[in-house]
This record gives sequence, structure tokens and C-alpha cells, in this order.
Amino acid sequence: MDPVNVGIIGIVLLVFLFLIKMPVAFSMAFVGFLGFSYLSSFHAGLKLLARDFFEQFSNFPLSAIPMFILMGSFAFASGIGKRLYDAAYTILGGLRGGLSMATVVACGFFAAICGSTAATATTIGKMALPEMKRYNYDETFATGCIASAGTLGILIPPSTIFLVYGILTEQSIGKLFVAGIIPGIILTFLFILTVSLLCWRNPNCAPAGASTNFKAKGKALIGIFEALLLFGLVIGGLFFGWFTPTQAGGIGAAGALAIGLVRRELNWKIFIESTRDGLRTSCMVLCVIAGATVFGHFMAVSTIPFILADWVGGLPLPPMAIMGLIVLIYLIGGCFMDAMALVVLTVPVIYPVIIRLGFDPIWFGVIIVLVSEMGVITPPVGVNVYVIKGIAPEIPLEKIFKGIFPFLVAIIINTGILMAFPKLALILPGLTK
Amino acid sequence: MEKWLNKMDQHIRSFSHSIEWIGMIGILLMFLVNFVDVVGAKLFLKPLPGATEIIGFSQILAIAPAIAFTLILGRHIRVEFILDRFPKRIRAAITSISSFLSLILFVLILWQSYLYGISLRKAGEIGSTSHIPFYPFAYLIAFCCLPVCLVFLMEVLKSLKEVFENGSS
Repeated sequence: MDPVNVGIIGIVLLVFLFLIKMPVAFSMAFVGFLGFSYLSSFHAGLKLLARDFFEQFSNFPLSAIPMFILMGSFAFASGIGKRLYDAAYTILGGLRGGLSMATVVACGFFAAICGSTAATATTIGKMALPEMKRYNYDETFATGCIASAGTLGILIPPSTIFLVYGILTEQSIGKLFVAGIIPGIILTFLFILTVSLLCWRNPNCAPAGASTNFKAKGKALIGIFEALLLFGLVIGGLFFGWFTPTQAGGIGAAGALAIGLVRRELNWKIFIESTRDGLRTSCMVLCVIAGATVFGHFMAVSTIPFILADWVGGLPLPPMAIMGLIVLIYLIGGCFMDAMALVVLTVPVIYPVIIRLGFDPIWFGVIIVLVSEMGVITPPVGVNVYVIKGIAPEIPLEKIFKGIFPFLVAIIINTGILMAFPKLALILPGLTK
Repeated sequence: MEKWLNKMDQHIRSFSHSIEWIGMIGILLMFLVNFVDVVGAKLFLKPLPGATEIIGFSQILAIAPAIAFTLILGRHIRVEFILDRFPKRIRAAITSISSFLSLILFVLILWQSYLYGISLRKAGEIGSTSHIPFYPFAYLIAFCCLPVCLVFLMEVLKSLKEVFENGSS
């Protein structure tokens, strides 16, 4: 049979296995093994399976992932998120919609030390939601805001999606990380603008909280200091070329651990629990990558990525229109699949198309992260929405999904801005050493 | 039957949880070696020899033993929203199929990782700077596939039991 047809059958089988709830990582490995065996030989397929798992699990560049995940886990356990929220709450809480603005700002700062959307939404949501309830915030508005603000976790560096994208496409992790800073700041402002507009339209949805004096506001800024220091050390180290990504992640984890110890927030039990949590998340991510590697080898011998690149490159459409279609495909795909799995599965296929169309791979990395952000809040598989549901089980899921829509518009606007002005994502990477 | 399944389930769970501790040692070793290497390199201009290889091997030590318990906790990503809409019996029947396919996959990885370990041992492959032999890590992956196979086997048996029970009721 023609390798392309085998590849297409493989993709259909993969989707079927996803739908029957086989773990994504193992589905990719299974289909990759079957397809590779068919196109080369059963013996070669068996060898590929063992070799790919061994090589990915021992892959040094991938070790940046467990290190940054560990950094996020230690930052979560060290109470940094709580102090960030307290600071933002003191400064902004007195305004109408101020608690939501404080949530967005605290998520933005926490994102600067944590690379996960779920961890960011959980950390800040646990503190923000009870306060919002106390001040009679509209439930739809409050939960939608927290779930959406949590998505800043993967745009503002460090970011697990940037790490995985960088490894899959062999792009500089440092450049990808700094490329997310300006779009992350723009999105933070767009979220605050969304909160302001919603409050202006319906003043009762977010009444003002307790106001504080100027001295208290100044004092609250100290709460942001440690997060900024950690961010400066890790991202600054990458920016100036002092650290490799693995080293930066390790230093970040050590820094978060040190803050927890100095603040006396960490004890042995919390340390073990946060390490265990980091290990499980790392295991999940690395299994997805190992499975995708086996599947990627099958795709390569099926020649589908190259044929797709040639076909898309020859379409009578301007490159930006094709990019718009790709974003739309990711947006739809993100509704049904976890962002990480979607990126790992599709980037090896889509990436040659992007290069063929002449787009900058660093810029495309930022676009991928933005569409991943949409994926983690859109129904039915919006991970962040389920995280918020876990914090507030009494609030119906439909209400939370309804609440994310104004913020989804903000992410779409940000994606549009980035597509219109790619330089916004490329200024800082151009300055890295 | 149910008693036996529950008992086996508990044994597999505690076995998987026990070997997850090896993973804990692995990830902490990665962290420690990385930290010593970066502090040594940046502050004392003396990086840890073979740090890259040690971190790579520690990563196997971290990840492979954690697969089974991560699976038990449901932390491996699955597309859940479609299957959850089916009636219980059909859901159980489909789960038995997906778990059986996963079981086949891990039996193959176990077998092939063991053979890969033998080939690495025979070839005498060692790290170029750390001089650590490769083969024990391939054996470790093979060993860590064992609890994963058991978890999937239990899933198959439990799902089939559910199909059978619902069918007879």
C-alpha cells in the first residue's frame, strides 16, 4: 500500500484510539509502532519502540521539563502565589472589579515563575474565589476570569508548552521564553480591559472591595519582590546566555525551594508532596513526548508531513490566510484535546508547512502557545475550567464556560495583534545572546 | 472474583506506589546533580564531570518507575468527554479494548527493553565522560513496565467483569 495511505489510516486509527479513551501517549506509541512496522518491518518496529522510549527518557535537553515543573511545584508549595495575590489585592482590591484585576495581575506574576496553566489557576483561584464570593461577585464573571487568567501560565515564561515546542522544532528555549514576555504583558492588559468593560456594562457583577491607604499599597509591593527576583534570575540567566534551559530550571527550583524554607512555608511532608506532584506531571509529559516520537517516526516514513507542506505551500492563498486556517484548526482541535498532547502530535506535521510558508519559527511558537491558551478554557475539554470546578464544586460547569467567553475574545484579539505585528514577539529574542 | 480483583488491585497499587519512590530518588538526583553542576560551573569554574550523562540517566530513574502510579491516579492524558456519554456497559466494553491494546504495547516495550539491555551489555556501551554503563537503565525500563502491564491487565479484567455483570442483570 502507498505510504501516504498507510499514514492516513494511521491518523484515523489514532483518533479512534483517542475516542475510546486510550491514554494519548500510549495511543501514539501503539499506532506509531504498527505503522512503522507495516512500512518497514515488524522487527524494525519492535526495535524502534524500545529505542525511542530509552532515548527520550534519557534525553538531556528534555531534562529542562522536569526541572521547570519542579520549580512550579516548589513555588506553589512555598506560598509565593499567596503573597502575590495579597499584594495585588491590596493595590487593586478597592476598585470596582478590583479583585478580578488583582487575580489577573497575580496570575501574570505567578506565571513568571510557573509554566503551567492549571497550577496558576489553582494557586491564585484558591485565594481569589472566596474573596470574590465575599464581595458578591457574579459567579460566572468571577470563575471565568480566574480560569482565563490562569492561561497566562504558559505564555509568560517559563512555559512547558514553549519547552516542548522548542525541543520538537530544535529552536532556542531561551529565545522562545523571552518571545512570550511582550505578548504576555499585552494579554494581561487585555484581560484587565475586559474586566473593566464587563464592570462598566454591569456594575453589579463586581462590586469594589475594601480600599487601602497609600502606605499599605507601598508595603504590599514587597510581596512581588521574591517572584520578580526568581523570574529575573531564571529568565535573565537564559536571556544573557548564563544558563542552559536545564540549568535555569534547576536554579529556579532551588530558588523556589530556598524561598519556601526561608519563609518557613515548607516542611518535609510538603516538600515530598510537591516533589511527588512534579514527578507525576513530568512523567505524563515525557510519556507523551516518547509516544509522539514513535508516532513521528511513522509519520516521517509515511512522508505525510512533506507532502502536506508541499500541498499547503502550493495553495493559491496568501500565507497569512493559511496561517489563519491553521490557527482555526488548532482552535477546534484544542476544544477536544489537551493542549500539550495537541502540540506534541501536530507540531511535527505542521512545522514543515510553517517553514515552507516562510514564517518565523519563534513567532509561530508564540502563536501555538496562544491557541493552546484558548484550548485550555474552551468546552468541552477546558482543563482550567475543570480546575476551577474543583475549587468551587457548587458552581455549574456551564456557568464557568459561559464566563470565559469575554476573555477568549481577548486571547483572539491578542493573536490577531501578533499576526498583524509579528515584531512584538521577535524584539526580545533578537536581543538574546 | 470481586474479592480477588480487589485484593490484586491493592497489591498492584502498593507495588506501583513503592517503586514510585525510586522515581522520587531519580528526580531529586537530577535536581541535585544539576544544581551542583551549575554552581560549580558558574561560581568555581568547575562543572561536574559527566553531569549531562548523569542527569540523562537520572531522568530514566525518575520517569520509568513513576509511569504505573501516574496511570493509577489517572494523570496520563485521555480524551474523556465522548466515552463518558455512553451507557455503563458499553463504556466498560470499550475500556476493556483500550486497556487490552495498552497492555499489548507495554508487554512489547517490556520485552524489547530487556532485549535492548542485553544488546547494550554485550556491546559494552558506557557514557563517554561518566563511564556509567547504559544497560541497567534499559533493564530498569523493562522492570518498570511490569506494574504498568499489571495495571492494564486489572483494568481489562474489571471492565470485562462489569460487562458480564451488567449483561446478566
